Amino acid sequence: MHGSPLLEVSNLRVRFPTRHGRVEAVSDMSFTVAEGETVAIVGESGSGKSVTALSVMGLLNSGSIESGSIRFRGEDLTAAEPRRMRQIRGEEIAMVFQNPMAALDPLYTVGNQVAEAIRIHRDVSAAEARARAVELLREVGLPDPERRARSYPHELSGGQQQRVVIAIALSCNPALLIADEPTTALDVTVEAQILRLMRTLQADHGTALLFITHDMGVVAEMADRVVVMYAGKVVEQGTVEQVLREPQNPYTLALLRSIPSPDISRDTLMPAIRGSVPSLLDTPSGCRFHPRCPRVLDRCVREEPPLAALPGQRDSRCWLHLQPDGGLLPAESTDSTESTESTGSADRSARHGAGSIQSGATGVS
Amino acid sequence: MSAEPTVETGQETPILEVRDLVKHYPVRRGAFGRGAGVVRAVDGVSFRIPRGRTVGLVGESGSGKSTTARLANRLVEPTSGQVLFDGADLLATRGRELKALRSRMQMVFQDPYGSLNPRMTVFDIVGEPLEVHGVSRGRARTARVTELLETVGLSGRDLYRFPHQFSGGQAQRIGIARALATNPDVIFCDESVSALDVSVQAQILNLLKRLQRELGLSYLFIAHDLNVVRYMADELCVMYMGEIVERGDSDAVFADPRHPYTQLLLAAIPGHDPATAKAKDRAVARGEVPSPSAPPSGCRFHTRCPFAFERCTAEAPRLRTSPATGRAAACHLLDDTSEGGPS
Amino acid sequence: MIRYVVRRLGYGLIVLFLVTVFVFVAMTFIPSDAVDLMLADTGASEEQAAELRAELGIDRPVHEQLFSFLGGALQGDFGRSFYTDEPVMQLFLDRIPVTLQLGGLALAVGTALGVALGILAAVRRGTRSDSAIRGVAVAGLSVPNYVVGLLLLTVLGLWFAWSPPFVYVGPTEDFASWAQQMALPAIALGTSAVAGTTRMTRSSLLENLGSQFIRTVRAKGASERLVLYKHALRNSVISVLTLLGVNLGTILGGTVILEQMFSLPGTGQLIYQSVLDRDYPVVIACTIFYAGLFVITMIIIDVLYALIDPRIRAAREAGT
Repeated sequence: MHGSPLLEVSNLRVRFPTRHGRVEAVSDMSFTVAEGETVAIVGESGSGKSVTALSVMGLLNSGSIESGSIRFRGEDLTAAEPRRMRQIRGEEIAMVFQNPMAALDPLYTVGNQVAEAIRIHRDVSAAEARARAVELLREVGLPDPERRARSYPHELSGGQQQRVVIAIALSCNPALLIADEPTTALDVTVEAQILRLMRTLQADHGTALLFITHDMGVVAEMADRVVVMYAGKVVEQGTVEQVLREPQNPYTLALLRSIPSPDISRDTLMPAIRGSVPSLLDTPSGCRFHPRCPRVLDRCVREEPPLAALPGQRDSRCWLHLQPDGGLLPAESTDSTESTESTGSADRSARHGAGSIQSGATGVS
Repeated sequence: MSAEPTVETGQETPILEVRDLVKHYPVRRGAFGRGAGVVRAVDGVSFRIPRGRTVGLVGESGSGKSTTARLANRLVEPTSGQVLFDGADLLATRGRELKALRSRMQMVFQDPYGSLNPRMTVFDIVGEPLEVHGVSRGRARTARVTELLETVGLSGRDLYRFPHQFSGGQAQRIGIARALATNPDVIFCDESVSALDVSVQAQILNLLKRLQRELGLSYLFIAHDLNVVRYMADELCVMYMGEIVERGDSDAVFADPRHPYTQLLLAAIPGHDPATAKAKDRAVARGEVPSPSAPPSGCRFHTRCPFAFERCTAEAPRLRTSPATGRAAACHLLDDTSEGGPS
Repeated sequence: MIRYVVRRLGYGLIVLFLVTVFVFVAMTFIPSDAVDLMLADTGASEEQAAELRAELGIDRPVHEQLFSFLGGALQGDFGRSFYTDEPVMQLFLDRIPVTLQLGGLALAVGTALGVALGILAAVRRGTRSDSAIRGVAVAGLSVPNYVVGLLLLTVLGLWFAWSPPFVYVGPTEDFASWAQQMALPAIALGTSAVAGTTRMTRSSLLENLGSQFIRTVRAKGASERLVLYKHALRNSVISVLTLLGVNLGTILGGTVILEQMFSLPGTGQLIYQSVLDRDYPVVIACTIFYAGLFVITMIIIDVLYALIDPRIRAAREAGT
């Protein structure tokens, strides 16, 4: 598959002080990213996915890493000196953020901000950095880069701003790019442009990508492997095909089902997950998903299940896997709290199924 | 531009009909502030919401979706156009009469916390519209608020709690209970589920569906997630730069988009199957929405349209309704040759 | 931009006009006038008093006095002192250098010190030095400047038997003496400026340091020095500038009492004496000059906003 792990996170535990005491945002988190590979960390709010990303960057503001290690090319970043971390940031690991408007300093031109990223790590003249900044802006598809380099962030659209942020991240050709919900603030048309750009750049530069998102569509489009998080814990990981097509964890399955898909009829209710995403201040006992799980067992309330290795080099955290009948989840387990009751006129069912949807301008290239 | 006639779907008058709705915001342009221009935020929008149905409004940010919703319930005063609510001319209504009509249309906003006053209890939040519209007082009000909370899946125990004590999904339920307080006919859902976690979003969508069935509500439903709109809307209006470029039965539009913009918009929806998502390489629309203060000449979409030809830069296409299907689209490519335009 | 400044100057003139009207009206509410004071204990008759009032022109209705003043002011004539008969403009110009030295010193040192302390507190947030700086800043804002002045005089006088020289000497003549005389009132005036600027700098810096664009800069691998001085501080300058205008007002007001207290021959002392003497032309003109000074400073600050922030620049060029 891929080469030796570029990034190896083991048993990471991150805590934050809050007014109501310390909370554990990430618990016992382990995953790897190989050279050139794209790994997506998926989760809802409070799952710890962004905290994981910031931990790798060494940019946790108030939180602290309690235990575990983050090895980048074998070097433990949790033990690295601040000076060493500054060398790594931008040069070897770079990051793209969620909200491009807020991610750029409003008082400097975008050319200045790209050039700054170059000059921090490369011993080049101001003029040279500037010329390379324009080249980078051209590479990320900013129209008229010479002129745009002299623009201020507020003069650009959201999509163009995100291109600038990507140019900054790629300025020193990093081995690992971390993207934290890079398209969430953008329109779906612009999202498609930005994701395509990231894929192209990744292919050109051989960059590994750690993609943080809540959007399964983005995961399907970008990822080689997927790590699913819930309330600070990894609940499932595997290849994108394994996780999205045959999810083994009840949470992953329920989450995938609760996304409106083209196949669901307007006259049926959505298979929703009951309850709310738990607050980190008050995490449930045992399995953290048990209050919302349609397949909860007595044991789930008391004891937390381990991350069990399943056939096919994938993991899932669920007691069901450790039942005597040893089962994987049956593919057809549809039961969840609000069943798919009919809302009336059944004749208006899924006449226009998924197949006909893409008859528009979608060409297979 | 005249009001575009919409197709009769039945004998009933629609609960809400807007005709040729226009909102222009004045802007000063140029270094010396001369030559005042306008931003055409909404420019000649017409649609109707049949009783008990959902009309979806989609388009990129800045397309005028939210402004259209605010014009239709007169939170924002239109520059021109007509709004017929249950047959009554909303824009000609004043004072008490306007208040009575308004109480029959409510809004549910995007940010569940931001739209609830953090210093008010749930009882005050949900009870406030009752007071404003003089629906009930005293003990009757407590009973009514409790009933509303139960309707949206909360309970009387939540009456005296504050918004921050609820999760995002529950807070949005409070917002819905508030909207229901005055027994509205129409609810405007402006990105009402967009800020919610996926696992919670489905609950709220189900709640909206159940309320529609039980209370006969009509929705104007705005969301940027097109799969959510597809699930909710019976009819669809696609907006681009303040204009409706395509309108029609939701299933039909999703299955067979006519307007090039709708085609690009739908093609941009990410697929959830990894095999096809990677292989298909989503069709990517060129560029981004132009500045609304300087819209392109002719068809406003021509700068991004893969099929644009000369006529598109010169002449704005009109929204034409096909009598056979009831669908409408504004594109020169779709013009009937019998109408006599140059092809 | 030029158009914007011209428009602001226009607004400034309106402000000056309103200030003038206000001062004229306010003067009529003050019991006793200059003639009462001049003729007190002289045993002059009512007719003599009326004659003097007519001569000074203060027997006329307020609006007439106002119009004749405005007429003169348009030609650069702001009236003459009742007592010395000197043109008020001349009196003001003679004395303004002292006030500008004192106010400028207080404002410049106060702002510089405040920014420095604010940076220190923000960088060492949560430490003892941060708490100490914040404590001192609160105290500095709570104590009025004349109390600071009195305390300084008392403490230095009683415990160290030192008091500043009481005769003003220009800085070019005898710098040491000038510095000794200016030090205490400047400290007294600058205290609240230091305190306010410290607090503003600290909170604004902390807000910016926690913002997303700073995270981007850190993600580039930037040193904390670059983060702080190139990005966070520059973004905080806007709020500090706003405070500068407020501080200027406080300091100009403070000179009235402190120049008297430290016997500095500035315009503050001039105003103080003129109010006591009911020397209307001087009071009125000085008030207008102070207001003018304030208006011009605010315009300069507004121009600086635009130089620093491209968004403000763009908004002004668009004329909104």
